Amino acid sequence: MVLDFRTLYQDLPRSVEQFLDEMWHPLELSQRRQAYPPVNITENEEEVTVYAVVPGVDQEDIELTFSENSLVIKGERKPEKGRYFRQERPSGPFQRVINLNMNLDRDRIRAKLKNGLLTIAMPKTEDMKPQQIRIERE
Amino acid sequence: MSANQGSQQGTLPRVHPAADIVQRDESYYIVLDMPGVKKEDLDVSVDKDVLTVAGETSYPVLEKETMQENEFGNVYFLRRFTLSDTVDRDGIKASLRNGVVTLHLPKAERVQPKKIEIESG
Repeated sequence: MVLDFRTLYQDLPRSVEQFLDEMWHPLELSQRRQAYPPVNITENEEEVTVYAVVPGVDQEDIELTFSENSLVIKGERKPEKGRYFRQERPSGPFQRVINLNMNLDRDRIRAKLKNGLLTIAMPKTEDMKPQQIRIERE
Repeated sequence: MSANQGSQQGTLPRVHPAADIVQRDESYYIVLDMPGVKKEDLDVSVDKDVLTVAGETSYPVLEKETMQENEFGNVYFLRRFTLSDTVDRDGIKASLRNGVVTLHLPKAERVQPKKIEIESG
């Protein structure tokens, strides 16, 4: 349910500002954001780290599962109580599946939540780490 | 606003945080999604009728890692609201939890309904 009682008078300057903002940044988050939550994924030699933006979600409302080389982030954003004058923040359940296509050490996955940022660090298994190959002399 | 924010403002993309406005009990609440903003980087101010909420994110800059997927980055959140006379300006409180800013705007005392006693003549 989305209720929006935005009045022209109060919001006109803001709307114009926002409109200009969007013109300057045509490919800003709002347009690229198809799946929720938005994620960043980084990789180094040791591990793969997934960062997800989940503001307003309590730790106990997030469920993380790892199976078949994919990570599933499940959760729910609860709406505010009271009478809404404006609702822009999304609410309700969400789920995102991230395929990682590599062998990860599922027993050593660590996750933390801070300031609405969920960080999941997944160490690679030994066979996924780059191995240097020595060239033998003839 | 601190000098630090002024300098960063030009480099980071400016984003309007999504906001909910809710009435509960005798107060209004403005709730804004501002993930990645630390408490010390959050700036809430009231100037006459304008309530300004600003803050920048401080996601660490990664050097050794390669990005496989990049859907968000550091931003400068800024949003202004025009306050009506029904809000008690001195009573505004702000809190930050899980990347969500909640502003508590109590109604000014004089707009709260007042019962008028009828004197018996």
